[in-house]
Amino acid sequence: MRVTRFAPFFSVVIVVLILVVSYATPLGAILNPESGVWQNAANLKFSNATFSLPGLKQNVTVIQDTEGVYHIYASNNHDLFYSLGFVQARNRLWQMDIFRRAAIGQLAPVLGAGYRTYDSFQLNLGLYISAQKDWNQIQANAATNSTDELSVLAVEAYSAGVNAYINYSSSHNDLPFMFKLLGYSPSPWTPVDSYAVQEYMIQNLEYGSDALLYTLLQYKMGNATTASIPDFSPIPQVYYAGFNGVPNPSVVAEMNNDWGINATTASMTYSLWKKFQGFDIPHVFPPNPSDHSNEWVVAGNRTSTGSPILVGGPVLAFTLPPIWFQVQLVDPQYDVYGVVLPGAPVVVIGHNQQIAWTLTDVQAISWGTYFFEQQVNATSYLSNGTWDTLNTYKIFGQKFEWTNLGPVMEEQNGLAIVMDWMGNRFTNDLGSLLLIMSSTDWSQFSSALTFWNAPYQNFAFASSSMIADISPGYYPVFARTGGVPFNPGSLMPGDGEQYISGSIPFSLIPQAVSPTSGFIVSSNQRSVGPAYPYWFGNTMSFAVGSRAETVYSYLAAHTDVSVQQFEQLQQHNYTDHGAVMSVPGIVSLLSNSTNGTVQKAIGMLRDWNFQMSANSVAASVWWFFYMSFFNNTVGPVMEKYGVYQSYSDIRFSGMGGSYSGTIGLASLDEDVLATLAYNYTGLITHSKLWTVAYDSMLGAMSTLQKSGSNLSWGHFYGFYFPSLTGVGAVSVGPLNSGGDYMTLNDASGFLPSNPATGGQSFTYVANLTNLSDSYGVYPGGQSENPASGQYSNYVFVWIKGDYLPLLYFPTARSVPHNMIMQKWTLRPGG
Amino acid sequence: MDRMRAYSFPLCIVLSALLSWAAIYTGLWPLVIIAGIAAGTVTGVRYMLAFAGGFAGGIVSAFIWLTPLLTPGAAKYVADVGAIASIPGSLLVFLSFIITALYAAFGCVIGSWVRHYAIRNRLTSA
Repeated sequence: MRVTRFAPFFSVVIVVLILVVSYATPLGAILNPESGVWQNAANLKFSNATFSLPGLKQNVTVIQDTEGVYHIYASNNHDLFYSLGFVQARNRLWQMDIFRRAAIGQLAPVLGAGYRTYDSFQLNLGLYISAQKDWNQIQANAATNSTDELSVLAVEAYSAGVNAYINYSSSHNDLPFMFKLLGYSPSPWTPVDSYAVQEYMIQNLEYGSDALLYTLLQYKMGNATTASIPDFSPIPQVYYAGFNGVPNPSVVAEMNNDWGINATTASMTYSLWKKFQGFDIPHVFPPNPSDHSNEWVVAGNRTSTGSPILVGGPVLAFTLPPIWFQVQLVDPQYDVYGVVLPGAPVVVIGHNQQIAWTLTDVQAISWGTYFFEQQVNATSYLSNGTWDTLNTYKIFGQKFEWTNLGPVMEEQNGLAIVMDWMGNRFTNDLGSLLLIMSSTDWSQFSSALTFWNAPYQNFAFASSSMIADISPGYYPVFARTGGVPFNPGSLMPGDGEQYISGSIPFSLIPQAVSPTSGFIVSSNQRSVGPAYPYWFGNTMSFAVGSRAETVYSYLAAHTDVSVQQFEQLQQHNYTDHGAVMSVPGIVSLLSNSTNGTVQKAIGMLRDWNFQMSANSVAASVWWFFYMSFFNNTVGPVMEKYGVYQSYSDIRFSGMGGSYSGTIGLASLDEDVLATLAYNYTGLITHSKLWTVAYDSMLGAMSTLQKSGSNLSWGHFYGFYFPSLTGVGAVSVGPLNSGGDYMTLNDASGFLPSNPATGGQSFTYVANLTNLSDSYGVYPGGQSENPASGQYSNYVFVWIKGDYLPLLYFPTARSVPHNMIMQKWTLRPGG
Repeated sequence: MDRMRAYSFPLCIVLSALLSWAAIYTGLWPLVIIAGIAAGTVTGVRYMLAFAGGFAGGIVSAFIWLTPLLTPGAAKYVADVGAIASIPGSLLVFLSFIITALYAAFGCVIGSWVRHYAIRNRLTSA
């Protein structure tokens, strides 16, 4: 009776409590039956639809084919890019938002305080500042420069399309559920956001701290540094752009003229290097693998089709959703097929009716990131003997200071380390790609790349009649008042003594056009040989060269290669070229050992075909031997000179840093391979080789025996595809696979502690005889919704080494009905 | 009068369901409380019946809203959302139903009290 009497009072109290709990947390927004996460389940249906969209000029037809690819048919450029923005946002809006936030340092407001350090670092680097500068300059030039005019049209239309979807989904309570879970709404997309994505890709591809690491090693090791980090590789290399021969003496003098530093500067350098490693960042979007992409292009006289074939495999970090989104864009100016990035209205890799292209990273010239020490005080910096006022930028409530050379990255007692990163110079990559998308021949293609300043990329090209490769970019040339320039791959004085005097002329940047060999291979190896007349970096940044050697050897031995054979080479060839070079020597070296364990290992290696196949035990023996040998040669050197003792976060491991908690350095992998294969004496003397090899083999076998009964390589190697949310339940893998750091389908990693989270992000084979007979797949899916059948469906195609046909339809009407999954009509209105 | 009482409880359920559906339609989920209050005020059933009627009406309205969203991938979707939110997906669904039902149920109790309070005041003033 008493309870009943007070029931209304209790009811009010309980209702208020539910309201407080629901709306003080995201629960209310998530669980709301009308606008909560449930509504997004409706997106899992595929259906034909019509959307009335404001700002569209004419009707646009969008067809998603049965492979999941979107084909967009518009009547003009504005509508084409507008529709691309709408379609991409409908599938990837949260990913796009996270990309721009990752670029401009705004993750903490939505992902939590753990990202504050990351955000501050990103803002300090200058991506947001440079994106704004790029856009302002492009707008200012649009009246007189046709490329910039086209860029403005495309980016503004694309932004309008993205915003049309944001408005549509907001009004239909259909924003991607991650916005609802995190309790925020996306702000309107702007052209600056697209240029921020451009900056972010430059950061992913051409940016690094090698110069800082070199400075620290040089500080501890002095002249012995050169033995560990040779100027040029001690193992044979394929220089696709030539310049074999005697090293250019002036370049060698520059490379070995290191500027001396003191203990204070070394301390600052180490502190800054650690910031670059991001040790305290919970989860970076995306993590950045390096050293891996492949591309080759073969002339028609060496293919079974009689026309060129182009093969691309750009290695990027794996995420779900993945970085690529696959489309065909058709209007009166464009008819192009390929993959686009989240937030950028351009096909980065693909083909049109006449040409095909793909990219790999040049990895040259210290990743385009240079560091100077400069005197600063609270308001000024010293340059050329005068104190000039620091440029101060206030962004999102934080203050950042720049000198004439770039942002101040580290400061201590009036000294600062300042970064001059090529990503902070003007570049209109989106404009270049817009021109490439409609290019019909090499002349137009290469002309479009004169606008390309960063990141340094190798562009492989094929038309029906020719092949080429070119590595455009702004490659600085350094000079020094009164002497040989200091090594730009190390810390440099920022007082004006050392300066950038210009850049390598476009005509002399690495390139090869229709070579007599009939093929070009570019897999992040050094593109020009020692005789190149400009400083192009040392062995730190370039890949080891094993992948280029594998492809080069194959192409040199085959003259009638088909599309299918190239697919096999790209995805099923697990040749470890390091093993090809080294294992015969190891077998010979240790064959006189009487130790039974060593003899057993040698027996397996003797019969091995150098394939890192998932079912091979010999592959495991080689890998563990190599890693053990690496530690037993590099480790003592680093300890001898006090590197490991002084810098507890610098720990190297082989195969690009395959062990968890270590870093990779191509120079050291090359040293180790050269030691094994050619008696290179940079790390150990020849007399110690047998002992170190013997101990390493015993160590490898001991590690293997402790690993359980399954010793096949697939047990130790596999790919992991992490969700952008960081949640394991919506991630995929690890999926066991063959391969390793030195095979074509490669990545650093080791199971279970450090699975490979990068690899060939779009395996692509373009057949220039009939571009409709081209193949490709990226590991991921078109949708960012984990419950969608298109979230990770391509992963399982990719991991098997299979390909999907790149269905190319010139008109909407030419798409067969049985190949249409859904069809949308976008019409002006709204 | 007895006949009216006999119909009050089912009417309470129906009214709660209809008004809750309309409240959810506005996108303002807490309006379901008002829907419950309205149903309780109109029917004036006893508190226990008001709670039960409102609860049932709330469940029905949530069911009407969520059923059309059942697609072949919906179960996986719920599980994935739950995984990301660190809550079992089935619990999320349960909470969505139960909160809607509780809004309507307690609203109905309040509405019933409002009706009784108003009648008592009218009688007192008369």
